[in-house]
Amino acid sequence: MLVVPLGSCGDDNESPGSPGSLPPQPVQVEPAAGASLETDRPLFTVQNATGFDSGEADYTFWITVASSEREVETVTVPAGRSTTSIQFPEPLLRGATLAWTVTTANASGEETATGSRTFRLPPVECGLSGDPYAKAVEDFWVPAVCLANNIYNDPEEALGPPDAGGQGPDMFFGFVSLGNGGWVTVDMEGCTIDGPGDDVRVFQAVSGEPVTLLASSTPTGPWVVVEYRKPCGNRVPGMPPLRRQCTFDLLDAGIEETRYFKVQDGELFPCPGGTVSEGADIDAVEILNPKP
Amino acid sequence: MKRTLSLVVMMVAIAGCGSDSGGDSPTLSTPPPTVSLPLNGPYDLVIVPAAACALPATPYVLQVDVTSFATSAGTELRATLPGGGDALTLDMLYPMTGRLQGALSTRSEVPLTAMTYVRLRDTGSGIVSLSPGGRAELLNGTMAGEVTFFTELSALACMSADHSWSLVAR
Repeated sequence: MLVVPLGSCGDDNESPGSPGSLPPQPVQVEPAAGASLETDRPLFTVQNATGFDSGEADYTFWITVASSEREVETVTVPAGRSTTSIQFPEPLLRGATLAWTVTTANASGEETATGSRTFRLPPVECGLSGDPYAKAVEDFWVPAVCLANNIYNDPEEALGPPDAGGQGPDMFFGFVSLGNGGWVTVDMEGCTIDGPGDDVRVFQAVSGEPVTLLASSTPTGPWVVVEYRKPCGNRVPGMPPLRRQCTFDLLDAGIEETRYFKVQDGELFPCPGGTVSEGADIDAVEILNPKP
Repeated sequence: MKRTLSLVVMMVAIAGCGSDSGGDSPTLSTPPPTVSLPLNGPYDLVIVPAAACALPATPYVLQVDVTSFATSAGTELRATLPGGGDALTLDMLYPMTGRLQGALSTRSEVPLTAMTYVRLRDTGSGIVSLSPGGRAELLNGTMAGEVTFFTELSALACMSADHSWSLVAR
């Protein structure tokens, strides 16, 4: 009599991947295609494929921006029993239509995959600001060997309107040097939207060092690349020649709105490099298309 | 008394069924545990350019010495060619335990063989794992930027966000 309830556990009496119990490819269960979700950390579930069940395979969950296919997050986990479910530990990206796909591989080297489904998270939490320039530094890192040789090491210099000036090599002011691959993350408070033309401007001083720009809806990411290693030496009409700039279009990343930017050195040259301002020299970050 | 015991056992069995089968509340799968051990010592830096680049003679393998050290910003990693110098450097931060993020760059061309060279202008990230020998290493990290392959007669450069890199324990 006690055997009856145990027998009702459907999966328990089936060997993993037994013929007829699982589909030939993994099948996305949730979130549904086109879902608008109310959480930043949704549950992702696939029905396992036959031959790719528990103890047989790993599943990799890929989150990308739907229109640009830029990677947002990825994680690989062992197969669950009949289904495999994951929840990313950190919030995903707001302000873009995202896509999720799942690939799986077993010990024999066989692989199979789902199709792609889109979903959206809630809108970005935007502050109210009529000032288009960066308001706060959220994160800053420059390699120690670069910090030791550079003298322009204050990340707060990336805030506010462009104000770089002075004379080189050691009498400049108004910017922060990022060294070899360093970054400064800024909160714009208000949001930038993908509007007509370019949407954000980075003011970069001294010469035309390249800049990589990444965007996110939170100060800790996930970060999506807007553009890699963009030369950033265009003159600014009406400004001193020391102040240079480059502009970026959120459309390239498939992002519709965003609040935080990570500005990363794109020169990527080992330190010490013979100057006291190694790497991109960031003066300011400006919203060109503000969210109304 | 006998009826009560049977009822209790049945309820336990039903509860066990739900948690095993993953019906309404699926069991979450989790990735392998984070490796907190930092990388130190001799490694092979393995660069695999994006397939779309179609660069020749891949992967590019260079022996490097790796040091992880504490700074005011957190724990950093620096890798150079054996003997030090700055012809090639990996300057990276552990933004959180078990992860690496930073730059892979060369001052100019670094010899791969007697006749071939490579230049890197890249950023990379990845997850630390344990080698079969128990040392920390990083396999198949993501890498974006420019990889240039040189021979005595030509240079082939490729910009991509789909390169990969590894630090394989030696």
